[in-house]
Amino acid sequence: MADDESTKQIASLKRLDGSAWSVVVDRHLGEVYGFIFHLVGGDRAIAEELNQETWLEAIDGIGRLDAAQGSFRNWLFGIARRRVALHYRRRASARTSTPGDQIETLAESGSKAVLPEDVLEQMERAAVVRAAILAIPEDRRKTLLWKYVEGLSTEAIAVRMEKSVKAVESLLSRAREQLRDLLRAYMTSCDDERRTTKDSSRA
Amino acid sequence: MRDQPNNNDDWLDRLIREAGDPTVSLDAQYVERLKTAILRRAASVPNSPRKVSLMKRIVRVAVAASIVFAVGAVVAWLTFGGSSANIAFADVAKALDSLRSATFDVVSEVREKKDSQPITAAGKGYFLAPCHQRIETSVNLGREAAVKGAEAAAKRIHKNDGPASANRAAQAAAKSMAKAVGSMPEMIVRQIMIADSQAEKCILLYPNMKTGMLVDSKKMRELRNKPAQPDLFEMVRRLVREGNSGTGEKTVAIGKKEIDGRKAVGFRVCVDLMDMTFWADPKTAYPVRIEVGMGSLGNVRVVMNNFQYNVALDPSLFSLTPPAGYSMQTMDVTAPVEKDLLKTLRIIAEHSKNVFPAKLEMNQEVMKALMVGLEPKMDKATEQKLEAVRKEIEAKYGGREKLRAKYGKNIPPEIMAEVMKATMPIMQEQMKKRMPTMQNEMLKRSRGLLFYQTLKPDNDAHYLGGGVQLDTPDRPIFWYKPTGSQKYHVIYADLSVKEVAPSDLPKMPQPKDGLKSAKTNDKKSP
Repeated sequence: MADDESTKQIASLKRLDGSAWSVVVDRHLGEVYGFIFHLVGGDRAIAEELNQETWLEAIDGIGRLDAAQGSFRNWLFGIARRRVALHYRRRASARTSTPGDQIETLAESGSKAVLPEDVLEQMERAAVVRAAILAIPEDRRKTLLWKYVEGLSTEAIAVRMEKSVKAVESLLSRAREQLRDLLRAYMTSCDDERRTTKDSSRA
Repeated sequence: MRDQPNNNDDWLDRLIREAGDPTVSLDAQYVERLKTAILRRAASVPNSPRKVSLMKRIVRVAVAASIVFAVGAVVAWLTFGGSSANIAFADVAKALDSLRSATFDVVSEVREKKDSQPITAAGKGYFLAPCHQRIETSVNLGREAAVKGAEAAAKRIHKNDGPASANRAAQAAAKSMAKAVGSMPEMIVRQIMIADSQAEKCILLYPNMKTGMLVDSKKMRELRNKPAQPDLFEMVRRLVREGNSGTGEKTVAIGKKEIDGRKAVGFRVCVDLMDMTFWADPKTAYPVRIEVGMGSLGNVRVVMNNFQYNVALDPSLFSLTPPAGYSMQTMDVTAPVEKDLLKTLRIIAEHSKNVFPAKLEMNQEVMKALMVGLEPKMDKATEQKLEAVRKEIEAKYGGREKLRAKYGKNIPPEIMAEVMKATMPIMQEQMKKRMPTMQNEMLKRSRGLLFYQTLKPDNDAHYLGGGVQLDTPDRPIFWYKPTGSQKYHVIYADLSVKEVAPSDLPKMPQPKDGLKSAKTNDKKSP
């Protein structure tokens, strides 16, 4: 369920209110771009193109977003995921025929995976993890990075965030849970690959 | 590298550490470009469509005003059939026999929708016995249109927020716009109708445009075989007179009511397209208020009140000679024919996604379809003038792009008002030039409706076109028996006409047959 703030924001976006769009662009442009950038292997030109497509698709399709079904941010990331997946599918289409519909419905399906498995298989782990980290909400992301990249203690993060230690622990727990969900499909695909490799070496 | 440690948490922690900070720096130029593209897309209907939407609003007001004005002309077309009398109503008529003159206020209003704010034409009526009438009305296409435009725009923008919120936004926008456009130039369009019911002549004058129209009421009478262009008071007398002959409509007493601090008795009569209510002073039997509802002409209502009786009036007010300098046209009073109906049906269908209307009457659906394309086409010089004015204002706020980026579609009312103040006079000039043409065109387009409305019960007319697609093969949408003919004319969805014997007429829609979705509009059933 979306909170009142989010409902209001979505209503403004649906009215194509320039200032509301300005706010969400400032807020989410960096993370969406980064998400795409990592998933396309750091190719800036492609990232820029897909990022633009994502935002323009969001504006065109904002009327379909149901505030009761989730936040604008999640919906926007859904579009970005679909754009990246389409990019890979298009690239692969010269070799294989793939059901595009599967991708089209990805954003609306509520799938928690970063990307479909067949697309994930083509990526480096670090890139997928970076993208997944960017896909989780900012406050959760910050706690993760401060904890595991900067190596701060929970207490230090609490001071920095002006929150209680308990609140930070809760944020960390939720962040890890979400990240795990996002990466589950990736790890499954890795497991399958590992199994296949083992089987073929036995044979 | 793609191994998963046994401890899930450790594995996740390691992944995060290995991944590092995922933040990516963005190229400032790219961000600027992208933001502009995003905001431009979000505001992809900003300034020029606002002009169009404002223009459409003004056109709607102007066309609605034409309809309000046309009420006078329609009264001429659709004079009364008669009424049965009752004693009190006969007393009203009798009292009018001794009437020398009268003045009264008249307000005509038309609503686009039943619950929308009316567009009003207000004015004054004059009567001089025995048969002279003058009605002056005016419509304000300036501030009123701006305020209503702002209200409608706010409602449209906020429609997703729910009706209460949309209404609040509309009220706020109207208030703010009314304040902002206080000094905006007005555009009052005036119409004067002068009629002599004995000489059977009528003229319509448009002082703003110095144009006018001559109406040959005699021709109308011959066409309709009914007296044409009566004055209000003659109408009442005729209702009583014809009622006494037993051929007219029923006049119903509707009790007493206090009007303007005076007790009044009411009578109601429905004739042709009009639903009339008379309120009369029980002591003098003079009318104190007359209300005319014309549901089939959109939501048009005319109210006459504040009657003053036996006042001195200058006879020159009722002169039927057009003032010097007026360019006069003659109103087409030829009888509308079947061909007019075909033309009207085509216009309505083509402007309604190729679907015929539910009913053959001037309701909102039909009015909207008939109005399509009436928007004035601006000449290049006017376009350039408008663009220059807009640019000048935009420059004050840092240019168009900056305005779009900052506000998108929601330009603050004070800036909107500034744009309107500067552009309205230019657009009004266009409207002034276009108004008589628009009114003529509207009358032409709606002649088919008049044809249908003037058919009598003997013509046995049936309309079954509601929801039918234009050009559907072999699909009858209308039939009637022309006066004096033994055969019927059937009009099909491709607007072809066939003459058929009564036994070959299409079947009326039954619940189980193929026409079950058709909506009937039967002349026989009221």
